[in-house]
Amino acid sequence: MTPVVYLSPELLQLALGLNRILCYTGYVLLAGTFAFWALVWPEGRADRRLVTLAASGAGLMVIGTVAGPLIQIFGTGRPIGDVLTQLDGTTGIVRLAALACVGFFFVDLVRAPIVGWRRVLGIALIVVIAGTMVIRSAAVGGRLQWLKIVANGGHLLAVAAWLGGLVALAAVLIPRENLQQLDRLIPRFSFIAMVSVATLVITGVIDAIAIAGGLRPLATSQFGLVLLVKIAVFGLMLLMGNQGRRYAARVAFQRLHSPASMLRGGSGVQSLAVVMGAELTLAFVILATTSILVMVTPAP
Amino acid sequence: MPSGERSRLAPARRAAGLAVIIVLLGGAVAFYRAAPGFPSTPKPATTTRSVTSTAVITPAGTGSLGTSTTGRTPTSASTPTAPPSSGGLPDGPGTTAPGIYLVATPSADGTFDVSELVLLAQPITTLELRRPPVSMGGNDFRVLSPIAIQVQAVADGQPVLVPNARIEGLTSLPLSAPATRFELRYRLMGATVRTMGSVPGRALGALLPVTTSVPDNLPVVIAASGPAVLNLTCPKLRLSEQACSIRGQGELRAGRYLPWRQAVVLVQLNLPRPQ
Repeated sequence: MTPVVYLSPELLQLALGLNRILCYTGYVLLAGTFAFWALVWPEGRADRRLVTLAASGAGLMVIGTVAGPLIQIFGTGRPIGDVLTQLDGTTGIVRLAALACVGFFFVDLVRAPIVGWRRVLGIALIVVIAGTMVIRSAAVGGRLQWLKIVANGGHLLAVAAWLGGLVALAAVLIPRENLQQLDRLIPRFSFIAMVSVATLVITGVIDAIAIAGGLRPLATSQFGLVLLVKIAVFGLMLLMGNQGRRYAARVAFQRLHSPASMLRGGSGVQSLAVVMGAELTLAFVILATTSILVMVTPAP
Repeated sequence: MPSGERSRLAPARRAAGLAVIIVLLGGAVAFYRAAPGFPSTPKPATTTRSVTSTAVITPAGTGSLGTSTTGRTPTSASTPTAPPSSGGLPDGPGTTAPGIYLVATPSADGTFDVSELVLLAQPITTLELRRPPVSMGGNDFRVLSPIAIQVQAVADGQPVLVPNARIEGLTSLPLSAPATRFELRYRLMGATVRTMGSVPGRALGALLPVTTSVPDNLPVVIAASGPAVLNLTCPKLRLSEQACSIRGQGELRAGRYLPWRQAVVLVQLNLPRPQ
């Protein structure tokens, strides 16, 4: 087959890398918002910004899922059998089915607070979508396959809860329309964030060592170098997250105990918004480095 | 949209949603069944045979030889394969999965007739070849300057011209179109040293791929065939793993996938008396 638009190997890598960022961003927005609803703020399903976040995430994931194979087929002229393995294609279609479920039943899902069967359905959708991402990752194949799959799955779910929750929290907080919710949301989100970050660290270490094939290959490979950048940015995010959490707790305390200080609380929220904005920028850098990590992952 | 109208449309939306989900899940099952039949780049003929009871498959740094690793397609771990005695090629790196499959047959003069199959995960536009750095094989090889002559190269089925048909240093071969599958045939000279103080004809040869600029961890399979071949060792592995030879059907090969950066095998030979 002749390529429709010939992409040089470098351009192809770039296009696929950008597509991966699109997919990861979509996952963080969709799964993160669902996790936020299910675990932190079930009543938040009525918040228009959160609804927009989830819908945008689903849209980005659909585009990313479909565009990946199309870029390879039309950009290189390679036959479909070379581009999509049996497992890649199957999991891609299953992911589209899960996204179709989100699309068609979203209205029903957010009609009432995300509790009971709505919570179960929301979490189940996150798990299915994360599962399709794990199966298409470097976790499948090679030695310690099941360990890598479990670690990778845990990592993805923790990313949804923490990073996605952070985005959702920013969407609720920055417009300053839901300040009265702060004192309830911050402690809940802090707990979720703490568990998620611990999970991220543990699963990240296991996953990286297993994929690289040991500590020495990890230390001496390109994969290890990019991972180091990711860890550095992650560390910076944690520091800023802690700062943001302290700001938010102070604002919540002021709102609860000293109504007269509401104006000063507003400036605190503004500072928090800046910190969170910086955090979200760093989150995007993490998504980009993760996308590069996929390119330099050692063969299983 | 008014809420009344929205609620009237709700059953239709749900029915359409269910239909789409069922179609997609059915499509996933259909894809899983049909995918092996999809058109793909032609692969070399492969023959799969069970490993004989004498072949010991050991775990390896980048995967054991016995497990067929055709991309991420699920494979049966209980059906390890070994290279057949002639003609066919085993499943694995260089043939059905990204990697390099190198098989060499020594001649009476100590040169090797080599076939090197390369399969890459991503297409490349320039094939980089190198003089094999046989010094990786140890001190005995430091003074050698091997060259590959009569080099023939094919990229995705298209012949590629190798200047002077020789590889004496780093050689870049621009390709007319991006390719992932390569076959190189050449005669490797100057990669063998006679073992002094041993029986006449006893020699040691170093085998490693001439393909370069590939990922450091690209798995490599190295095999040596012919009656002159006595044993193989993998000098770049840990001491306990250096005795890496396993016997296939008519040849010896490294019993593990070697990462490209460590892909060197020493072949112990009994060179035949010149006729």
